[in-house]
Amino acid sequence: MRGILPGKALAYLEHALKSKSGDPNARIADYFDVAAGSGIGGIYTAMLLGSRDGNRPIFKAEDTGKKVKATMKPVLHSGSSSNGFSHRRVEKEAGMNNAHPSADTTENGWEAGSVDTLSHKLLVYFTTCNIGHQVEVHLKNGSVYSGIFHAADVEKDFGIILKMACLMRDSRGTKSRSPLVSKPPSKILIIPADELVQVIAQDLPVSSNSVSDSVQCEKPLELLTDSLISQFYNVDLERELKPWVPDEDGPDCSDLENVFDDPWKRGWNQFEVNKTLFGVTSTFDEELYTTKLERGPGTRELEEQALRIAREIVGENTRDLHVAEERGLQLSGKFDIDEETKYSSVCTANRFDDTGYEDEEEDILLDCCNNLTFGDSSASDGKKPASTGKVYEETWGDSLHLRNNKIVDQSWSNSNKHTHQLMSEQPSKDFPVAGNNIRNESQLGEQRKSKFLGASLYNKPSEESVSGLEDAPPSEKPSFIAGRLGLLSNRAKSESSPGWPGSSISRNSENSAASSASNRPILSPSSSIGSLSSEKSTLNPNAKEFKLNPNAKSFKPSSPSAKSPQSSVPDGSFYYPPVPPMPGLRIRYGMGAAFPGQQHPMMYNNTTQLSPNQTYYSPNSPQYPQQMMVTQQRPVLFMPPTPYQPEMPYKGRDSY
Amino acid sequence: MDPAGGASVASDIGGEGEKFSVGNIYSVKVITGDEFRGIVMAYDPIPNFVFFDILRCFLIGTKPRPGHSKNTRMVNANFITGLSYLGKTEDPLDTDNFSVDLNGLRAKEALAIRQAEADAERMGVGVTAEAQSIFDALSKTLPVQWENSDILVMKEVRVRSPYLSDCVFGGTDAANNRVKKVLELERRRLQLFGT
Repeated sequence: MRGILPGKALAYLEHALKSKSGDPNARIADYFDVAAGSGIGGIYTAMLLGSRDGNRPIFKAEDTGKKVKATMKPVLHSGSSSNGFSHRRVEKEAGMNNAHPSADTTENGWEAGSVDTLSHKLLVYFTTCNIGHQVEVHLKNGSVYSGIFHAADVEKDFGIILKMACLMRDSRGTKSRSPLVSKPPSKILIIPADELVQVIAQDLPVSSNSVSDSVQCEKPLELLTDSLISQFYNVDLERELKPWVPDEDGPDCSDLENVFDDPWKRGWNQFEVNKTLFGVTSTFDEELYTTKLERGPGTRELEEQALRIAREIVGENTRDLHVAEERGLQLSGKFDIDEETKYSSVCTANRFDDTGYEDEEEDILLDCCNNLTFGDSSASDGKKPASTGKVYEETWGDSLHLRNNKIVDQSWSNSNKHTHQLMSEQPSKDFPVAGNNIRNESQLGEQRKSKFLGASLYNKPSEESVSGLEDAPPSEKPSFIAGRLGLLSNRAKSESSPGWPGSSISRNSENSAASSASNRPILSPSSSIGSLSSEKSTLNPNAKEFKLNPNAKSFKPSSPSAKSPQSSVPDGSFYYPPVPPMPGLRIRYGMGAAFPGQQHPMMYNNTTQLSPNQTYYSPNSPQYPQQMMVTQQRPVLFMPPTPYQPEMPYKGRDSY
Repeated sequence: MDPAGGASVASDIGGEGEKFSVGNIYSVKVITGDEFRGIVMAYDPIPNFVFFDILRCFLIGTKPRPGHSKNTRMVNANFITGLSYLGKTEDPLDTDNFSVDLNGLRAKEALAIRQAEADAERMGVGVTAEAQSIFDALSKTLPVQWENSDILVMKEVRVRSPYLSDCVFGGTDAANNRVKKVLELERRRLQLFGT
């Protein structure tokens, strides 16, 4: 813009000279002997004084300013980034007014409704959408730049400005990136309209909702993909998946196709195989791990009853999202509940978000929680026959059997304790239906709460032997009703729920026999992994207080064919010897003699047969006395391949 | 105003109504040789620019994707060398939604610029692609920066061209060895992946 004002000044000077002298043809050159200038002044000087014929100057003073304006404009627009022409940035904002139909101030008198204005506005609008977007610009000379769109001159001819522009392809058409990156990206690149061929933008948000969305989505970049984090730039593009077709000359394993068709009739007996191959006799006795089924005259009826109950359960209506899915019910109309809501057992506590969507999720989750907590109200109402799918027990409604109230007496490990997995040593009998391992965190929660007496006693370090700690999972409940085969729905439960990895749960079938029947409080556990709280209301009023009996013998699982008499310990009074934490160490406690007098053949499944009076010396672990003594007859299932620890990772009812 | 070098537009006007009216579909060829098909979203004869929504699938009957985001081109109509009219769709614009959040755009731009600057830092100038990939690989676990065509690791160890393990200089012994080792392994990995 230089020189315009001086040009005007000169024009006025000449005008003044003309009027003062009265000569309309007067020029500045007539009245000045010498004129000099630098820069634009030099140009003006030449213009004002230069002449073609040596007589009159070519230009008039007023021409100077105009000429400058005319010639400078293209000069101003063109030019590379090295020119400091940033101040010439013609902001989109100026043109933005055009986009709003209401503000027609810069319409230059055009009709508001004329097509030209509308189309101009539209163009301006779309061009504005480009701001901030990574675009590719093609120039007339064939070069291609990629950069962030910054501005365009909407008033004039739509020259544009890019920021952080990289030359992708230069005018010769060669891809400048391939051997070398030759130039750093230019911070600002101004492209005049007559060089500009096209501006290409991918995934440009053009409508207002998408614009706002995309902007907001920029912010939570906490959601990083793995590729982003590892900066793995060779990310393979997606390809279309095609179903696998076996090779023609591949091995024809057609009999593998139907391996899973007959699940139960495969005729495979691993024990037999072991015997044949390795000469190993199995000591597996199913009844150690599960409730023995009394098969007798009443079996059929009982089975039918169980099936009926199972059907009832499965057919129940439920408001729990998880259960509904299991049963194939479409619980909620919304199909866009995200996976986390659907499958997570954690109720997120964002209760303060206002979006309706979240509320709905919340509601759904709350429903699940509530159901778990309070039991499905429609628990036994639904009589729809349902397929006997998995018996998914989630609610505790009316059929809560409280576990062994006697078991309340026992301490049981905290969830915090990491005890050995109590594997499925479940002496209680399961119903056929209950064969499914069903987990229910809430149950455990209930159990915890109900059982937790004298908790302080039992905050022992993790390695306690959990001998015979019984959370009475509901599967036993049926068995604990008089007659052992309950009428109630068998909410069989597996031993340790994932929610309580540490809790050791073993069952005591005897214990809960009578008491559980009478006791069916509805508990209110926290359905998420909650902390223990002993709510008195959920405790078994009949429970005895647990007293540690250091001399008590360990509990052994009751089995009718049990060889030796029950231990003198009253049922359910299990104890935890206060064991100093030692990895994998079980110290026998309370038995006095190092070697018990009892003879119980301790049978291992490995080839070494150990008499009960022998300590098992593991080849690879420290020896310590008497770890593995089993006081009562108790077959211990030992798994040879596992890295040996002197006692099993889990010992159900052993005392050590 | 015919800019220097601009070719005249050969258009096939018949039946399309006004040229470049909104909703028209054209197959366009520009002076650089690029070709595409698009729907006219906006056109202004004064600067003579057309804004196209690019059609990926070439079925004429398809409706343009409503709202949301499009692949677009803003084309200087002076440089259109070939234009053929393919048809017309109904108005692809949903003008109710047309408002622009300037602040949002500015924020987006600022973010993009920051990103671009960060990327630019990582790019070496005048280095080979191989060097760049080595730099990228090293940068995953070590703090690296470019110094001309040398890679400066942890500000002390320098890796010169051609970025082999014997081109590692400087730094403490431990650092030096570590960089050497990482360099070797990265090279091996790059070979495997055939970058």
